[in-house]
Amino acid sequence: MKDILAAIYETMFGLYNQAYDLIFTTLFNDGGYLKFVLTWLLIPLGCWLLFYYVWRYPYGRWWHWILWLVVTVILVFGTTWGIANSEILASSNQDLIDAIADPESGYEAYAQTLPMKYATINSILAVAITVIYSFVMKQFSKVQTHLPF
Amino acid sequence: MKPIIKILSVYFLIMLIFSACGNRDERLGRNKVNQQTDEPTIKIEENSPGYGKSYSGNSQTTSTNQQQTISKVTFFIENSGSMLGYVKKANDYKNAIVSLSYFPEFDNSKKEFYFINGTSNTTKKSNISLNLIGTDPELLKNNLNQSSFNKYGDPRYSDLTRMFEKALSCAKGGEISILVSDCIYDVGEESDPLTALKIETEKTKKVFRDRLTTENIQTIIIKAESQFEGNYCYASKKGTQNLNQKRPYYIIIFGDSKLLNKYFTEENILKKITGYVSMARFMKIGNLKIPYQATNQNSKGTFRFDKTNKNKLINAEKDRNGQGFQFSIAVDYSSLPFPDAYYKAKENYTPTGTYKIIDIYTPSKKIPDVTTFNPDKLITIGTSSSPYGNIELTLKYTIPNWITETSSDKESGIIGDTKHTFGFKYLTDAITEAYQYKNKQQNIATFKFEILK
Repeated sequence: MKDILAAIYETMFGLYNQAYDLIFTTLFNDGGYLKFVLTWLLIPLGCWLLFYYVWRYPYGRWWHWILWLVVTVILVFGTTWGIANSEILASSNQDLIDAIADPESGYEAYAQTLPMKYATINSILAVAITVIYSFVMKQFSKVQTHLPF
Repeated sequence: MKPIIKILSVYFLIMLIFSACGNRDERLGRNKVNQQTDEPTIKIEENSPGYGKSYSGNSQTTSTNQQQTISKVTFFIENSGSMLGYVKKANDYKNAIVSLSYFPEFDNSKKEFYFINGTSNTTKKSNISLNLIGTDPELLKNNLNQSSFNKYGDPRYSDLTRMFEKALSCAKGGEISILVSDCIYDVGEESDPLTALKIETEKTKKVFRDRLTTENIQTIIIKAESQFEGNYCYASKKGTQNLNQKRPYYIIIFGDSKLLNKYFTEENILKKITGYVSMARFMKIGNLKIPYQATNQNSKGTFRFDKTNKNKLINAEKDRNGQGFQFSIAVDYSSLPFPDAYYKAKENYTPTGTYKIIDIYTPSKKIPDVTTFNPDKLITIGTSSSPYGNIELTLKYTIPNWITETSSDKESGIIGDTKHTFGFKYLTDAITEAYQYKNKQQNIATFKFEILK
C-alpha cells in the first residue's frame, strides 16, 4: 500500500530525486504519503458534502461551484503544505534533521522546495477528485442537482 | 452559507493550533532527548541486507568479547648459529625485540622469554631445546648477545616447524606468542634442498591446520631488517659465509584474531619496530558482516532506492548523455585489521559482469543517506553496458607482494643481498594453504546489489 501511495508522487509526478533519498524514505516510513493522499481525498469530500447536502440555497449558480472549488483547493494546498513542512523540515527522523542541518549536504535548500511541490500536486489531485465527487453527489443531492452543470 | 463559514472558521483554527504545536525547534529539542535515550538500544541486525560476509573469529567470539586484553605473551627467540650475526652489536634487531618486549600493550600481561634451537630430526644427535630466559624484559635484553645465544640449547640446528608448533601451542584465549627467527629452514645437507624444503613445509602446514581446527588463531608475519655481522649458514649447502650487511629477519605473532586486530595494527607496529619493512596477516575468514549500502554519491544515470532494501536499485537507467551507469557503495571496514591501502587498491576487488571500479576513497563528509553505520570507504562502480542484474563486488583476500619478492631459491648471491630469504615462499605458502584449507570462503567481503529496470 505504501508503495502505491509513494508511486503517485515519486513516479507519476516525478518528484523523486536519488540525491535526497533520505527525505523520500522518511516520508515513506513515517506515513507522510498516506497523509498527503488523505488530504486530497478527505478535504474535498468534506467540502463537497457541505456543498451538496448542507448548503440549502436553491439558486446556486456555476460560479458558486467554482468558488467552492477554489476554497477546496486552498484548503488542500494549505493543509498539504503544512503536512509536508512538518514531515520534512520538522521531521522526527534524526538522520534527516542532521542532513538538513548540514550546510554541505544541500538537503535544506532542496527540502524547502518540496512542500510547495507536494501542495501543488495535491491541488491538482483535489480538482480531479472534485469533478468525480460532484458528479456522484449531485445525483443524491436534493438542492444542488444542477451544479456544476 | 453562514454555517459553512462557521465550520470553515473552526477548521482554520484547528489547523492553526496544529501548526503551532508542530514547532520545529521544539521537535528538534525533543528528538535530541529521544536520541540520547534511545541510542544504546540501536542495534544493527547482522542478517539484514547490507552486510558483506567477511572474516571473523566465529568459534571464539564469546570468550574474546569478554577477554579483550592480552593475559600472557610468550616470546620465542631463535638462538641457532644462523642468528648469531644479529646479536653481535647493538642494532635494529636488538632494538626491535627489546621494544616489543616493552610494548605498552603488554604492561599488564604475564611475560615469558624463551630461547629456542635444536632439531627433532632423528638423524641428527639433537633435540628441540627450549630455555626459559626469564619473565623480565630486562633479562631478555641482557641475554641478547652471542655468548648467551651459544650458551643455551643446541645452536647447531634450528627446526622451524617445531618452533611454529611450540609458538602456536602457546597462543590460546587471551595468550599470544611471538617467534623471532630468520625463517630459514634447516634442511640439512640434502642433494635437492628445494624438494627437502617442500617436504619440510608440508609438516609446517599440518602444524597450522591442527591448530586452526580448534582455535581462531591469526598469524602476523612482520619482516624487519637489521645489521648482520657474522656467519651466514647456508641452508641449501654446506658451509658459511661471513657477512657484515643488512639482513632480513621475521617477527611472527600468533594469537586470537580479535586480540591481534586490536593491538597489532600496522600503524602500531610501524611505530615500534625499528627496521620494520612489511607485514602480512593470515587468518580464518568466517561470517562476520561488513556493513555496506548503495548510495547516490558520484552517480551517473538515474535510479531509485527500494524503500525496504537500499541495495536494490529500481527504475535504473543509463545516463542520457552516454556516460553509462554509476553509483557508489558506502562500506564500513572498521572491524577489519588491514591497512588503508588494502581497501583502496582496485586490484583487490572483483566486480561481476561489466561493472568496473571507478574510484575508492575515504569520504570527507557524512553521507546523509547512510544512517545505520559510519562508512569509511566509498567505492564507485560503473558500467557503460546494460546495468541490470544481480551485481556482486568482492574484496579478495590476497597475500602481499612482498612475500613473493622476499623469497629466493638460491643462496649464491647472499653477499650484498639484504632483502631475500632462502625458501621463504615455501614457508608462507604452507601457512597460506593451511588457512585456505580452514577458510569457508576465500573473499574477505562480498557486497551484493540488485539493479532493476
